[in-house]
This record gives sequence, C-alpha cells and structure tokens, in this order.
Amino acid sequence: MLALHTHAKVAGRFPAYPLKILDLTEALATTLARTRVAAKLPSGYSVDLGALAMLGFAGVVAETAPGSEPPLPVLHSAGDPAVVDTGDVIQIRSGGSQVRVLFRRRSSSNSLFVTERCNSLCLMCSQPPRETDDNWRIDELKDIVDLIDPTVSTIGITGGEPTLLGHRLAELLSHMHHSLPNTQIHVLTNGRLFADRALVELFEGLQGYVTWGIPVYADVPAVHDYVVQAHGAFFETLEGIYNLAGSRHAIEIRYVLHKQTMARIRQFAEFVSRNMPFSSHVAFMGLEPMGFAKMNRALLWVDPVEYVQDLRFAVNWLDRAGVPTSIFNLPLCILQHDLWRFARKSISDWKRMYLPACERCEVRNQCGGFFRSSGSNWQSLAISPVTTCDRGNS
Amino acid sequence: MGADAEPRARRNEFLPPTAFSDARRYVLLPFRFRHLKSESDYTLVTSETGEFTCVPRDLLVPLVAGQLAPDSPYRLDLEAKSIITSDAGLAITVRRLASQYRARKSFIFEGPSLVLFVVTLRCDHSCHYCQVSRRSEFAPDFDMSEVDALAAVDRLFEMPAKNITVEFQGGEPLLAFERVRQIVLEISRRQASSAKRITFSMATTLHHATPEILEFLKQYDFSVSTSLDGPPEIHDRHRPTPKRDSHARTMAAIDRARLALGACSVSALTTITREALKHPEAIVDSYVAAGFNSIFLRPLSPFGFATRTEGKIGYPMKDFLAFYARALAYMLELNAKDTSISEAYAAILLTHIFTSQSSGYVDLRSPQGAGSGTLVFNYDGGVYPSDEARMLAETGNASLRLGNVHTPFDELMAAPALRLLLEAGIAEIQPGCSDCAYLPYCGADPVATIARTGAPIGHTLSSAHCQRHMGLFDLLFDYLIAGEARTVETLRSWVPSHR
Amino acid sequence: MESGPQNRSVSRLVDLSLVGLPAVQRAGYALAEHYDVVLDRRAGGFVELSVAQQAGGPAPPAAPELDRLLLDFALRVDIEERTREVRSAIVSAALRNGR
Repeated sequence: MLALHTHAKVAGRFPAYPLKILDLTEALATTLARTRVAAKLPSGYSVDLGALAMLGFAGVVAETAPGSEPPLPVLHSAGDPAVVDTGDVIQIRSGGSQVRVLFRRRSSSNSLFVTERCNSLCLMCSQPPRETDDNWRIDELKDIVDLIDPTVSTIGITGGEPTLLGHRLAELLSHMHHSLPNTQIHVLTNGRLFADRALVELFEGLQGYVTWGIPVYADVPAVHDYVVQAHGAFFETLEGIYNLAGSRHAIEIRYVLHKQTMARIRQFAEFVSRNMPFSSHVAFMGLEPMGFAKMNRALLWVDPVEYVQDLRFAVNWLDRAGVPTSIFNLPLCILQHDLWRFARKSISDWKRMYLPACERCEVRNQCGGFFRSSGSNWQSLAISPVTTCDRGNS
Repeated sequence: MGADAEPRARRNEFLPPTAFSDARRYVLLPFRFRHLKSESDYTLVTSETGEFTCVPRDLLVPLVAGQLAPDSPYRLDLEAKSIITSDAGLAITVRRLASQYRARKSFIFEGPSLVLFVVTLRCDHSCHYCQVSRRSEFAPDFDMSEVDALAAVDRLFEMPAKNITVEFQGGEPLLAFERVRQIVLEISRRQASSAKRITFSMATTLHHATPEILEFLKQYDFSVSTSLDGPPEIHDRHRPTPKRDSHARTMAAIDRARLALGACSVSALTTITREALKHPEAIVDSYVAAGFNSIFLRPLSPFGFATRTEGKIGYPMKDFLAFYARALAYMLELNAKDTSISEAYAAILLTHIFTSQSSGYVDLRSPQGAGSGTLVFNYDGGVYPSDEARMLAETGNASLRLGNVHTPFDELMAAPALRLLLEAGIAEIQPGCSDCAYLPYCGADPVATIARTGAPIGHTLSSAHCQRHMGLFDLLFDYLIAGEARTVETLRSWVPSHR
Repeated sequence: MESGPQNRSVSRLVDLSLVGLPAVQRAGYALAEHYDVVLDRRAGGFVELSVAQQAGGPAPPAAPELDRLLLDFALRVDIEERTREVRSAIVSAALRNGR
C-alpha cells in the first residue's frame, strides 16, 4: 500500500537523473558509480558528511534536516519515510519537492513505463493514451535499469503500447537482459504490430527472457475490436501472436472480465485451447476502475458474481487443456472454493487495499484484495469475510 | 492506427459495437454437416479441423448461399468455429486452421509409435470370443524365438519415432515371461544411447504374475491392461478356465498388481458379449466396486474365434449401441454424484473432438494407422501392420503380412500391402466418409474391410466400424449439444489432461 | 411409384440441372446402406433414382424425405466447390509448415 511518490525537503541540489538509495553499509560497498547513489543515513547525523562528499556520492537521505549547510545534498523529512527505502531507485523533481520511486526493492511488481502512445483505445484503458513524442523515456529507462538489483525476478514493461517504439524497445530489452541476465521481462502489448514479422525479428535472442502479455477479449473480431476500439485489431493481434509463437517467444493471453466480455467467456476458453495451445499462461482479470474504465462504467461494470460460473467453466477448460491459468484481481470470497488455487495476488502492493469487512476474513492473507481505486460502486455485493463454516462448502 | 485513435482519445469518443460488426459479406470455409436426431430442427456443423457448433436446419441453405443475415444470432459462433470468416480475416484464419490441421496430422511424420510383440500364442484361458486363435498352455512351437526377438528389437531402433510404446501380447505373454524379460533388457540397454523414449505395457490376465514378475514390471514402469468383463456371472460365462474361477483369480491378481505397480498402472477392459448387453449398469458397478475410475466397453471383434462363436455370442452393432447408451447415461449419473468413472473409448473420441492433439490411439486416424502407426511382431517372426491383420493371417489370409523381423524397416514400410492399406485408408477421399460431419475425429479401417469383404474399400457406411463410430459420435454430440453444462464439463474432463 | 407391400420401392425423377449427378450418386451411395438403389439416365437431363426395400430391411423413405436427402447432398457438393481453394490452402500450409 505504499505510494509511488512522496514529498520531501531538499537541502542543496540533487542531480535530475535517477538515483539509487542504499543504506550506508551497502553504499560504501557498492560497485555502482557513487555519483548515482544517495546514501541513507542512520538516525541522527553521526556520519561525516564531508567524507561522503569526497567519496563522490550524489547525496544522502536523512530523517531530519541537517543542522547547517551540508557539504552534499540532503533529502530529508519525507512525508512518508517508508516510501523511500534502501535499494529503491528514485528521482527528485528539480526544484520541487516530489520524490518519485522508479524501482522498489521490496515490491514484487516493478514496471517500467515506456510510452504514453497507443494504437488502440480500449474502453477500460487504465492508462489513457496521449499522442506525444516520448522517445526520451527509453534513455532514462536505460539509466534506471543500471540501478536495478540484478537479483530481481521480474520487471514489467508497460505503456501505452510499447511496440510503437520499434527498435528502441528492442534496444531497451537487450540492455535490460545484459544488465539483469537473471531477470524475466514481462511486456504488456496488444501485439498488433507483430503482424509484421520484421518486428518480431528485432527481438531475436530474447526468447526465454521475455514474456509478451497480450490481451485477447473474445473469440470473434466484432467483440474484440469493439472493446479495443480499433478495426482489424483482432486479426492483427492473432497474426502477431502466431508470428511470436513461430519464433518461440513466450506468450501470455490476458482477458479482462467486464460487461462487454462476459458473454463469451466459455467460447473464449475453447478458442484459446484450440488455436493457441502454445500459450504459456492465460490470465482472467477483474476490472481495474482507472482511466477510461471510470467514464465507461455503464458499459463495463457488472458484479463478478454474474460471470463467476462461466469463469469457472473457462478456467477448468484451459487447465484441463494443459494451459497454465490464473485469475487476477478478484477476491477469494466471490470465487468458488475450487477456483482458489488459480487466484493470484496480482494487484501491485502499491495499488492494493482491503475493506473493513476483510478484518474478520480468515483468508485475508491469501487474498489479492482490491484496487485502491475501487469505490463501493465497483465492489461486488457478494464480498464478505470467509469463515470456517464457509470453507466447508464449494 | 495511432492517428485514428488519438483524436478520438482527445474527444473521449468511443464508437458503438455496430461500428465493428461486420458487413453482409462473408467467406465460406470448408465444413460438413449432420442433422441431429435429438433436436430435429438443428444441424451439427463441423469445420475442416473439427470445431463444431449447431445451427437451425433451415439456416443451412442461406448460409451456403452467402445470405446469412448480418444480425443472425448464429453468426458469431459460426465465425469463432471456423465455418465462416470475413475477407479481412481470411489469411489469419487459414493460418490458424493450418496450425490445427498440422497438429491433428502431425503423426504422419512420426511413423510407427506402437509396437506389439506377440511373444506366444499359448494361453491357459479359452475365451469364447478370443480374437487371437490361442493355443493350449503347453503347446510347443508357438513362442517367439530369441533370434526373432532380437531382430525385432533391431527393427524397433530403426524406427524414426522418438516416443514408442512397446506392448507385449499373446496368448498370455506371462507364459513366455523369459522372452519378455530378454526383450525388455535388450531394449533398455540400447535405449540408453539413443534419443528414444520407450514405454512398456502388457495385455495379460495377470494370473501368472508372480512377485518376481511384478517386481520386474515395476522396475521397468510397465502399464498393464487386463480383461474384466463385469461381475462374476458375466466374466466367467465366456472366459472359462479349468476351475471356472477366472473372475476371482483376476480380482486377486489385480489387487496384487496394484500393490506392486500402483493403481494408475493397472487398467481393465471388457469384451461385451450378447449376454452382457442386458447388464450395462451391473458391469459399470462392478468396475466402480473394483476401484477402477475407467472402463473400456469393447464390442466383440469380428476376428478370430469370435467369428466362429458369433451365432452364440454375437449381436448387431445397433444392439451394442443401445447397451452403450444405457451404460454411458448411468456413468454420467454416477459422475453427477461425485463417483469418478469414465469410459475409455469415449475418452479417445472426446480427445479427437475437443483437441487437435494426438490421442495416442492409432486405430482411429486418417491416414489409417495399421503399419503406419502400429507394427506387430508375431511369434513366428512375421511382421504385420496390426493385430487384426495378424489375425487374418491366422485364419488363412496372409495378404497383409509386410515381411519378417529380419526385413529392414525401410523395406517393411515399402511393402505393397502397406501401400494398399494407405491408399484405401484416407477417409477424406472415401465415399461415405468424405461427407461425414465426424470425419475430423474418425478414421478409415481398411483391414477390417479386407477381413469382411476381401477388398480394402467396401461400402463404408454399412461397415461395423462406421456404424459403431457414427452411433458413438451421435450419442456424444447429443450430450454435448443438448446436455447440461455439468454433463459437458464431465465429458470434457474425460479427455486426458495435458498438464 | 409403389409396387406391392412385400417389395416396396420409391422413385424420384431428378432434374440434373438442380441436383447435379455427383450429388445424386452420393445420395445413392448413402441409401445403399439400407436399400437397393438403382440410378437410370432419362432423357432431357434427368436421372431416375429408385430406392427399394431389401429383404428383411426397412421400408424406403417417403418421397419428401428422399428429396431432402438429395438437396442435402447437393448442398455438400456446393460447399465443397465453394471452399475447394480455401481447403487446399489450409492443407498446403499445414503440410508446409503449420503456423
């Protein structure tokens, strides 16, 4: 439940580029260039800041303000000190007091945002696109990647539509794979541009390190194209999927559950099992009430209890077909018991919350909770704490 | 694409569904149809790759004429199931259908993947329906020789397939256990330096399975299959042993085998005789009581001794189908009450219906599987394309013998008999089959046709093979189309999981 | 045309311009499972399809049912012709290299 930014005070002037926060011990031992590191001080100012300045650190992070003018920049008095912790990568807005967290060591879901542009316009888009030249992002992201712990298991790539960056996306992914050779990269993409084999070729050599997470919203173009608001998108996405699969790339199929997709959940499962049996994973996802989803609520909102039977059929269908399947973003209380093994804690920690009702729930720790953005008009009427007597029933 | 999206994004203007649903025009994809008996106003349509849906019968003519209404409620399913597509979708649809088609036919590139070793014809049973022409337990000269056995193993390692199942049969293979042991050891020795993955199985009464034998079978991960015709009255009636105790001994042997090999490695099948037709529920119950979760209801084979005793124990296929329908209904009832019991042949058919994956069952495919999917090494060193072909030779017609175990594999595959079978074994071009809605799931059986008529192509629709499969598919699709969701889920769950 | 209760038969005069010969042949083949079937060419582009009861077999279908069967097979031939190219494309692509 930690935010991705906080406000803080700055004494002196920090560089504008991304910085790695490391506690003092780790900072002194790091192989990273010290000009990119801000050392996190223990309580009080017992450390010789002049020595740290001579060592070349970009600055320090302290709890309280320094007594006098410090020899190197000090970030202090953070609104929420927990937001900026050792191992995190931050950026301090020049002149301002906002601290953005670009990578969080303790988080299980770090993502790099590569562009605001998109070639689709999904009804429920949580990140509404903007047509803007944001090529600069790749260069900044490469800097951030240099500061990410090589021990991290997965990093996400999101947008907008990452493939709009073409060879620059390939450049970023190669850079990531080089700096973080043990890290899996998960790219969210509509896959449409992969209908051109030449684009697929750009990612040769990354097979096994990258998974392409591609939304497919139906087994027929009329429904899919409507949901993504783009003519021809379904066919392009399928071509893209086939081209990727033909080059042995790993593909995850994502299906967002809402009023426009609920009618053909079962048919979709069969379509995937027959046509994309090579999928490495299928994720059925509860709706995130962000961005366009909010303005399109009348088109999209349906209480999940209305589709949960069909969801169960679909999940079992794919499971039997040998396709690894998951349910994202739905709380355990509204799922039949035999579906619990498919439910994941998918909501990023910094977006997740629980409801007052969850206080008494016996499976709260197992459950993925809710989006912080979901008000009561986005919550199922069936939400209720699970107690021992419930768990006996399916 | 971006240019289209961006101005609308600024205006936050979203287009309605009608902007994305299709024109009047569509492209027809290859499909077959069959009118449903159960819901006579409806017709089952199946795509070239076996996807299926149903439409009102009187929709067919306008559908084919290009006059399906744009707002027809059947349009989306017809598109999803590859019966129609749009011009814009044609290329990708051909591509994904090709992918399904290739998966269904990929066995062609494998060559034989099931090899039967008939190590002896000797048997201590004298089952009335025996399709083997077994010999008595002590008869000389009906065992496979060492020279022939080792040559057969040479042939095995000449085969291109990576995954091969070696099945031991007889007579009763355990009466020639030493030969079985020798073959297994030789294969294992050679397997170590090859890329092949060879699994072993055996069809046996299990009555002669000593602890030492069971230990050996366990060591080499054998799956065993035994005959259990039902409760004692039914089982013992046509499977006489000197002491008339086949059922009791079989049950005891199954228990010992389960203990030694694990329950998953022990399966059983029935042979349904005329008497058994009256007792579908009792037979199913006997399997459930015996702890099996799968039963194979096997109709009488027209080969071997069964042809001689047909008068007493035989029956027309429609009687078997009526029996089967009752048994299946009963099994579905049991499943609804949480008793797991599936029918093994239905499971094979359902695998063909629901997936493009190979079921591993070589006897129902097109091009046909005798010789191309299976090879039989007979006790006398003869090589046959299937067990039925071997049986045919036992009863005087050796026209399907491919050669002997000393003939190199490539020559065996080039045998004229095999070519004859393949030319008659492509269901897509057989009259009767080529129109059949069930074609994607079925196969031709030229060996049976030769046995029946002397020629490889008979009147397909009259054959027992066709009647049986049409009947079974009709029954299954009846449930799949008109049954409850729960029944559909149960049937789908019978398809072996690929996890 | 019906003749005698023991040996019933039904005939249809089929206009080959409506139901082509291949369809009539296939219908005849299907009917041969249970009946004795004869096809006779007639003048003016017609074929007579006669379906007779076999000894111990079922009575032949009534004329309207026979007509529906003929139309079904005509439909099948029609589908095959319209989809010949696509089917060929699918099978070629599959045998070439699938995906």
